[in-house]
Amino acid sequence: MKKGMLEYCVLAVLTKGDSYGYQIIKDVSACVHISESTLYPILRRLEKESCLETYSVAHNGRLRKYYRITAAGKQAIRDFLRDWEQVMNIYHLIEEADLE
Amino acid sequence: MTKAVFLRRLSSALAKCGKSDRKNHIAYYSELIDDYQEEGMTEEQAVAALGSPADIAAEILAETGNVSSMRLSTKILIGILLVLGFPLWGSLVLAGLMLVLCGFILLWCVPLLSGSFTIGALIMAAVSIPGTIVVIQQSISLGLIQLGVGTACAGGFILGAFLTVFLCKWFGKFTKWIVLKAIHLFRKEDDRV
Repeated sequence: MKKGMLEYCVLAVLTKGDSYGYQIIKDVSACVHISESTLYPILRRLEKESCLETYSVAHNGRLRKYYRITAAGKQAIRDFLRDWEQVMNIYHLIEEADLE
Repeated sequence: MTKAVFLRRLSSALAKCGKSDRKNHIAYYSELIDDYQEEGMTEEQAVAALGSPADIAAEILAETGNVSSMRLSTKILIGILLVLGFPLWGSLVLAGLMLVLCGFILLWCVPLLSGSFTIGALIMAAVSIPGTIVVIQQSISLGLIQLGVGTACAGGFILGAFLTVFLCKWFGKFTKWIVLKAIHLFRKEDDRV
């Protein structure tokens, strides 16, 4: 479940501004641990689904790849939040279960 | 472990991936190592923070597992189609290769022509100029004409030699470029299959 949410964590981080691999790891890790090898497949998947786009910027004599969230990416977050409301309703229903 | 060693090991561990996929993974990890170093880590620390190349490659390959099984079935299908279609594509490829060969022969005819002209001019100059001594004893005017023709041939030889060298260099470069392009094309195909 946590793994599935990482995609939305990455998208959420990118709503605050374009970012690059290392910075995304730092920002997401502030909330939930994400390893370097976990992030890359997520970025590729999101790029494939057109939720984000990439561009390169020259930095200290090398090229740094930046990721930018697209309209489809923002819509994916909205969909996730809407679905999550239903999940919370289910959670509250389960929470109120009489276990005695 | 240094960055170069790490990336080399990762690249060879990802041999099953396509060339462009491998390149993207390498670029990603290379960028991360650079970023870690900018944050104050040493090269060894940055590489160690990422884990072992074998583990990373195993994770990447597990993630793209479905793709590789598809690649295997595609390989078998392509193999069968290649064998069955050989009479058709084999003759077409052969005809294509012959056309390319004809093109090359035609192309190299140009420096061959200028080379023949150069050698001809050299022989004429070599015969005409010393021959002047014999001819001038019989007729001064004929001798002078012979000397003029010989000198003109010597000039033609020098110009022809320069032209031939220039053409050989230019066509040589062009041929090398075409051959490299063809090799590159086949390598790309290998990666894709």
